[in-house]
Amino acid sequence: MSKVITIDNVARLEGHASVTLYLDKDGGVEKAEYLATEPSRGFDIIFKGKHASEVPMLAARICGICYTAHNICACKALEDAWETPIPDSAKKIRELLLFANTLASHALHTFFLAGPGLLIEGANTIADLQKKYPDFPEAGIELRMIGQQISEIIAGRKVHTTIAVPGGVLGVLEQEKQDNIMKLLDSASEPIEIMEDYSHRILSDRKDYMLSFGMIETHFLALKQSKRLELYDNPIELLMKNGKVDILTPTQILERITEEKKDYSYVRHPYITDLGSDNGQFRTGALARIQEDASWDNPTFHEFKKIFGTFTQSTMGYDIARVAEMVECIKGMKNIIKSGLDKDIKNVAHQKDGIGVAVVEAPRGLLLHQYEIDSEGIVRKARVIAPTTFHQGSIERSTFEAAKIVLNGKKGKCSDEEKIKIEQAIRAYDPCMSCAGATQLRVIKKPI
Amino acid sequence: MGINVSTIQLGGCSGCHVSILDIGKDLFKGGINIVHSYLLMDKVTATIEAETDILIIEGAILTNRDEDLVKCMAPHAKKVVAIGSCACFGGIACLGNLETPFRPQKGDFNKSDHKLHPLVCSPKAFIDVDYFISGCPPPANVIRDVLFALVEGKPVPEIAHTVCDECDRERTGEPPPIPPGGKWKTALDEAPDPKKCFLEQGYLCLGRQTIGGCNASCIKANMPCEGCRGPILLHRGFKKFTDEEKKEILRCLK
Ligand code: SF4
Ligand code: SF4
Repeated sequence: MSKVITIDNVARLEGHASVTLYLDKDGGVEKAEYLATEPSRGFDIIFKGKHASEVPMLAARICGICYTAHNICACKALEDAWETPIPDSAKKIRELLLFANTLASHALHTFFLAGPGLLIEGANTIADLQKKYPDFPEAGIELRMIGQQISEIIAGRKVHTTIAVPGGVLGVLEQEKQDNIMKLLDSASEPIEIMEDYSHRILSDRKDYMLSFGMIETHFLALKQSKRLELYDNPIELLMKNGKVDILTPTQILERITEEKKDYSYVRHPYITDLGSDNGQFRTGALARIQEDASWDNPTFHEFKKIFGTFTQSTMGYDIARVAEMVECIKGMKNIIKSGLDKDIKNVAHQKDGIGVAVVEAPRGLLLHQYEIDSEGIVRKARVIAPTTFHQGSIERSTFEAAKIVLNGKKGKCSDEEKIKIEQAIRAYDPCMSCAGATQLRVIKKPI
Repeated sequence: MGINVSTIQLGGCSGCHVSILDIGKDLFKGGINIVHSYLLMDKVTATIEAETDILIIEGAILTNRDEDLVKCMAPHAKKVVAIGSCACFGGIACLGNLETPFRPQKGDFNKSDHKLHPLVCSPKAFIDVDYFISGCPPPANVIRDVLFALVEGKPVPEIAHTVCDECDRERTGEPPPIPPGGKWKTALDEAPDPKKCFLEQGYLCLGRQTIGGCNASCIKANMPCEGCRGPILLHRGFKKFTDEEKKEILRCLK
C-alpha cells in the first residue's frame, strides 16, 4: 500500500501553502506536490476598470513584504505604455527604496524564517535560537528596522510605501533626510558583521548540507548584475543549465513561458515553453542574481564563490546569497546618497492607449507587471507574475529531493521533526504566497 | 508572566504582520508571549488550543477555511483584535467583490475547504471583535499602544480625530475649492507643493474623512492621504463600529 503524508500549512513563510508527499510501499518518496492553498485575491479584477493612476498604490497591497517592488514595477509598466521618462533623481530614490526593502525582507527571512533551522538542525523557533545565539536575532531585528526606517524616511511609512507614481516619485529627499539615512546606514555595520559571521559559521559547520540539500537542476533568470547589486534596470539574462546566456525583454519572457495549470494548486507552474515542463524550469532571486555576472566585493560573496563555485545549482545557496546581497544593499544606498540627489523628481505623464510591461528585481526575484490601458487611462487588463509564481515548479522539485534525503530509511514514517527538516528546503526560496497568486488570468496562450 | 498572543492570517498580504514586527525590540522585551503565529513559529509547536488571551486577526474572509478558522479560534480568546483595514472593513481584499469574482473552472484546484467564500468580507460578520485597529497596514506605534494597554490592563486609547487634524500644511481657512469640471489632479500630474494643503492645490486628499493616528505620515512625505485607515464616520475610537455592516454582510450571504 502506498502512503500519503501531508505537511499542512508550511510555517514560517508568507501566506499559506501545504505539501503532499506520496510514498511507495517501502517508504520511498515517489512524488511531491506543493499546494498553494489560498485562492487569488484577484488583483486582475481589482485593477480592471480603475484609472491607471490608482494602480501603483493598489499594486503595493499585493504583498506586505515586497510592496516597494510592486509599487515601482507598476509605475515602470505604465511609463512603458505612455513612453514617459523619469528624472535621474527619481530613479535614484526608487533604487534606494528597493535596496531598503530588500535589506528588510532578507533580514526578516534570514533571522526569523530560515535562521533557526540553518543554525541548529531541526530547530524551529526564534526562542530556540535566542537561547543558543542571542546576538543573532538581535542583529536581525536591528538590520530589519534599519531597512524599514529608511523606507519610512523616504515614503512616510514603513509598509506599503506608495511614493512612486507614473513619471517619478512624489517626495524630494532633502539633505536632512539624506543625513538621517546615512546615520542609519553607518549603524548597520555592526549587525551586518555579526550576520556575515553567522553565514560563515553555517558554511563551515554544515557545508555538505548547504551544497546538496534540496538540489535540483534549472535555468536561471535575473537582471544582469555588475559591480553592484542591480535591482532596478538592466538587461534580463536567461542563464541556461549549459552555460549559454540569452538576453530577453520583458515581452519576450511572456512569449517564452507557459503557465501550466495544476489540479492541486491555486497557482500555475510556469516553464520555458520550448524546453518543456521538465527541462524548462527556471529560478530567479538571490541565487540567480549572484550568478548573472555579479562581481561584488564583500567577504560573503567571495566565500560563496569559493564554496559553491561560479555556477551552482545548490538550493541552499539562496540563504548565503541573501547575506551577500544585504551587504550590497547597504553599500548601494551609501553610494547613491554620496552621488547626490536633486529636486527634479517628477515628470508629467500623458495617458494614451497602449500596453505596458516592465520588470524589477523584487527581494525574491524577477517581478513582472503588464497592463493594457485605453485612451481614457482606464485599465482593461492586468497581469502580474511574481517571483514565487516562477518558483512553483522548482519548489516542488526541491521538496521532493529534500524529502528523499530526510525520509531515507525511515520506512514511511514522518515525524514532526522530519517535516520541519523538509520544510527548510521550501524556505530557501523564501516563498511569498500572497504574491504568487496575485492575478488569475486563466487563458494564457498569448501575452495580453 | 505576561499575556499570550496568537496571530492568524486570513486573506491578506502579511503587511499587518510585518507592521506588528515593526514594533521592533519592544515586542520581545517581555509581557507578550506569542503562542501561535504561522509567520514566527512552526505550526507543530503552537497548538490552536494554546491558552490565548489576545487573538489578532489579519485579513478578510476569503475562503471557507477562513470562516471556520475564526469561528474555531475566537471562542478560545479573551479578547479579539482585528488588525488592518482588511480585517476591519474588508479592505483591499473586498475590492474583488466589485466584479464577478474568480469562479473555479473545470481542472482548477478547488478543494472544498479552500473554496472561495461567496462574499469576501470582514471576519466581524461571524465573530465578536473587541478592538478594531484599522490602516493598511496600521502604523506600528498604534498597534503597540493598543497591545501594551491590554498587557498593562489600562484603558485602550481612543482616537477620535482625523488625519487632517494631524497635518501641518498651510491652509487658507476657506473651504477648499472643487476644481473645474470635478477634475482633480492625479498622480500623473506634476508633484504637489510640499507646504500647502493638497485640496487647495486641486489634489484629492482623503485626510479630512480618515481616522487619524498615523501622524499624517504619507502627507509628510508629500503624498495625498489615500484613506487607508478608513472613514472616521464608521469608527470613532477603536471599539465603536456599527452593527449595520455586519447585518449587511449576513444579508448578502443569504
Ligand atoms: S490591511 Fe493592508 S496590510 Fe493588512 S492584510 Fe490587508 S492589504 Fe495587507
Ligand atoms: S496619511 Fe492616510 S493613507 Fe497615509 S497612513 Fe495615514 S490614513 Fe493611511
